[in-house]
Amino acid sequence: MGAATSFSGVSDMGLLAAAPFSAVVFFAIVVLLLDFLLPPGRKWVLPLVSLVGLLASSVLVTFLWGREVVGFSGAISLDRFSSFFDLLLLLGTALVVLSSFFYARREGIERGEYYSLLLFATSGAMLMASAVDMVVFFLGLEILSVSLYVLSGFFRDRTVSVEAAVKYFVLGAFASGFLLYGIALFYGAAGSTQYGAMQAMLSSGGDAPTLLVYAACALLMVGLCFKLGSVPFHMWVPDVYQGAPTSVTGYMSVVSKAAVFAAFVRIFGTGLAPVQIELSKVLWVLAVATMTLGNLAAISQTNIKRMLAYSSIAHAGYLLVALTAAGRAGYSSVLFYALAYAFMTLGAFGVIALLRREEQEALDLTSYSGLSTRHPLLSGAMALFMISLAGIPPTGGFFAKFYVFSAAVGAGYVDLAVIGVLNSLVSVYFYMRIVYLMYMKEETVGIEAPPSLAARAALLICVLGTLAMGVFPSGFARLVASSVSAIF
Amino acid sequence: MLLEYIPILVWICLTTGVAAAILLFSHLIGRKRPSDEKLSPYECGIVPTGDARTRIPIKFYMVAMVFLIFDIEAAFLYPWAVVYRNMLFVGLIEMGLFMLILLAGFVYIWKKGVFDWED
Amino acid sequence: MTALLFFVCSLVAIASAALVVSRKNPVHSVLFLIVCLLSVALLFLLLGAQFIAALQVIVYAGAIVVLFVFVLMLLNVKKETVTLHSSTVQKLGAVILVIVLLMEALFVAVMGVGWLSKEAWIAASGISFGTVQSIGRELFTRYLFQFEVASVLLLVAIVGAIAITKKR
Repeated sequence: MGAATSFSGVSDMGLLAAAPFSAVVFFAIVVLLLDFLLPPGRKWVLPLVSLVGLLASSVLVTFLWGREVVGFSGAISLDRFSSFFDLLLLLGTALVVLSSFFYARREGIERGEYYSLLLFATSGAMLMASAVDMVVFFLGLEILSVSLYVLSGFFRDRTVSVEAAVKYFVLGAFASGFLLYGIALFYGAAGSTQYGAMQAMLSSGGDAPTLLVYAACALLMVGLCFKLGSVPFHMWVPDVYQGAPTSVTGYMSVVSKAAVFAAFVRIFGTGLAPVQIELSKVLWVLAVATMTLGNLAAISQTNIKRMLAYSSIAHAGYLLVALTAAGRAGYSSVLFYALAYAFMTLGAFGVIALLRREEQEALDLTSYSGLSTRHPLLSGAMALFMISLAGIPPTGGFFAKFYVFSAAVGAGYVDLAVIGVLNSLVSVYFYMRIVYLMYMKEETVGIEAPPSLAARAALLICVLGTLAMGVFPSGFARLVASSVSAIF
Repeated sequence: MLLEYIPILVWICLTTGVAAAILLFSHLIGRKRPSDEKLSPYECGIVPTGDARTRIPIKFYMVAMVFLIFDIEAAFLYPWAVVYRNMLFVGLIEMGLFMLILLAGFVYIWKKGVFDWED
Repeated sequence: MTALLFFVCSLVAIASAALVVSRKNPVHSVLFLIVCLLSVALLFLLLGAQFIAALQVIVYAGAIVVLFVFVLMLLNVKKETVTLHSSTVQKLGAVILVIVLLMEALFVAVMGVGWLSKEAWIAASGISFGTVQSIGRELFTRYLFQFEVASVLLLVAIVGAIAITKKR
C-alpha cells in the first residue's frame, strides 16, 4: 500500500523544470537520426535543425523566466539563475553552430553526429547549471564531457586531434573519479545528495562531520578545477584546445567553462556556503596561480589556438577571483564575466575558423600579418575581440574585469584585485600583438577568408554583444544581479 | 543476514569442486602419450596458423561497446520488473521513455552499419 | 565473522589491484582485475547492497572486462613492447600517495565510521536498502529524473563510441 501511494505523486513533480533540457535532447536525437535521411548535398539542413532546437529551448526558457520550480523531488531547479545560464549556453551553442555551417563542411566533419553531440553537450551543460542534486550535476557533467571527448577527436585522420581526444579523455575520466569520490563523501556527510540538505546540515549548528565535509570539498574542487583548466590541473588545456576542431575549441572554452562555473556557484555558493570563508583561502591561491601562469605562458606562444588556450586559463583565473570574493557581488560578476567572455571568445574563434592558408587552417600567428589590407572587416572584429579580452574599454571585457575586481575589493581581497590588474596589464601585450600584426605588418600571401553568411552573422552577433556589454553595462549588471538573487 | 547466502556459497563450492575434480581425475587417471601433434594448440581441428596475438578488426570493439551499454540498460530492468506491480501504467511510461531514448541509439548503430559484418 | 570476511575481501581487493598495475603482461592485469572486481562485489554484499554486488559481477566483471580484452587484442599489445617510463620522483610520489591513502583508510576505519565496532555491522545487516525492490522503489520515484537522464548519457556514449570508430 505504501508503495502504491508513493507513486501517485508523479503528476505534480514539476515537469516544467526539465522542459528546456528535454527540448535540446529531443532535437539532438532528431538531428542524429535525420542525418540518415539526408542525401550528401543536403547536409546544411542539420545545423539548421540544430538552430531550430536551440531556439525552441530558448523560447521555453524565456517563457518560463521568473518562475521558480523545483522538479522531480529536488533534482533540478528552474529559477532565474538556471534560466540565465540556459540562455547563455544556448546562445553560445547557437554561435558555434552558425560558424560550423561553413567550417564543418570545409573540414569534412559535416555529419549528424557532430551537431547532435554539440546539442547533447549543451543539454549536459544546462543540467549542470540547473542541478540542485549532486547526481544530476554529475550526470550533466558526464554528458557534456563524453560529448566533448568525441568532438575534440573528430578529425580522425589528424594526429593532433586524436592526441587531444585521448589526453582529454584519460585525464577527464581521472578527474571525474575525484569528483565522484567527492560526491560520495558529500553524501556521507549530508546524508543526501541534494545541495539544500548539505546547507541545512552545516548551518544547523550541530556537530557537523567537519573532516568529511572538508575532504568532500577538496575532492570536488579538484574535479571542478580540472574541468575549468585551472592551475595545477591545466596541463591538458593547450594540447586539447590546439588539436580539437576550431569550432569545438570555441565551444569548450565558452560553453563547458560557463557550465562548470555555474555548477561551482551553485555547489559552493549554496550547498557549501557555510564553509565558504575557509574555501576562499584555497581559491585565493588557485586564482593567483591560474591568472599568472595563464598570462605568462600565453606570451611565448606562436600558435593562435595555443595562445587562446593559455588566455582561457588566465580568464578562468579571473573568474576564480570572483568565486573567492563570493557573495552576491562576486557571483553576479561571474555571470557577467561568463556572458562577456562568451561573446569575445566565440568571436575570436569564429575568425580563426574562417581563415585559411595553403589549404590548411591558418593557426600560425604570422598568418595574421597585414590581415587588415584585404579583410578590413574581419580584422576589425578580431581587433575588437582582442581589445575586449585584454580588458580595455569600451568593451564587455573591460566591465567584466571591473565587476570582478570591485567585487574582490568589496569582499576585502584588495591584494587579489591588485594581482589581477597587474595580470591584465601583462595580457595586453599578447592580445595587442595580434592587433599589431594585423595592422602594422606586411601582408602574408595566400590568406583566404571565404564568404560565409552564417559565420559572418555569428561574428556580427559577437561584435554587437561585446560592444553592447561595454556601452550599456548597467542593464546587463541588473540582469545578472536579479539572476543571482534567485539562489540566495 | 549473511546466512541467506550460504546456499550460494555451497553452489560456488560445488561448481568449482566439480570442475576441479574433472581436471584432476583426467590428469591422474588418463593415459598420456604426448606427440608433437597433440601438444600443439587446439584450434577447432584446423592446423594452427601463427600467434594468437594478432590485431583483431575494430568491429569486435564496437560490438563489445554496444553490448556493454545495452547490458547497463538491461541492468535497470531488474529493479523495474520487481516493483512494476506497484507502478503499472506510470512505470510503463517511465521505462518507456528510457527505452525510447536508447532505441534512438539502437536505430543509429543499426543505420550506421555496426551490425554489418561484411564490408 | 563479517569483520573477518571484510578484511579478507579487502586484502584480496587491494592485493589484486596492486597486481593489476604491476603486471607486465596486460592479459594478466585483466585477469587480476576480475579478481579485484569480484572481491569488491563481496564487499558490497557485506554492506547489504545485494543489487550493486550483482551489478558489479554482471556489468564490471562481465561486460567491461570483455571490452578490456577486446581493446587489448585491438591494440595488439605484446608483453615485450610494454615499457614503463617512470622516474624516481614519480615512484616517490606514488609511494607517498599510497601511504596517504592507506592512512586515510585506516583513519576512516578506526575513527570515522567505526567500522570495527560490532554495532555498525549489526546496524548494516538490519537495513534492506540494498535489495532490488528497494532500489527499484527509489529509482522510479525519488530518483526518476536521474534515471531518465542516465539514458541520455548512455545514448551519448553509444553515439560517441561509434562516431570515432566507424568509417562513413
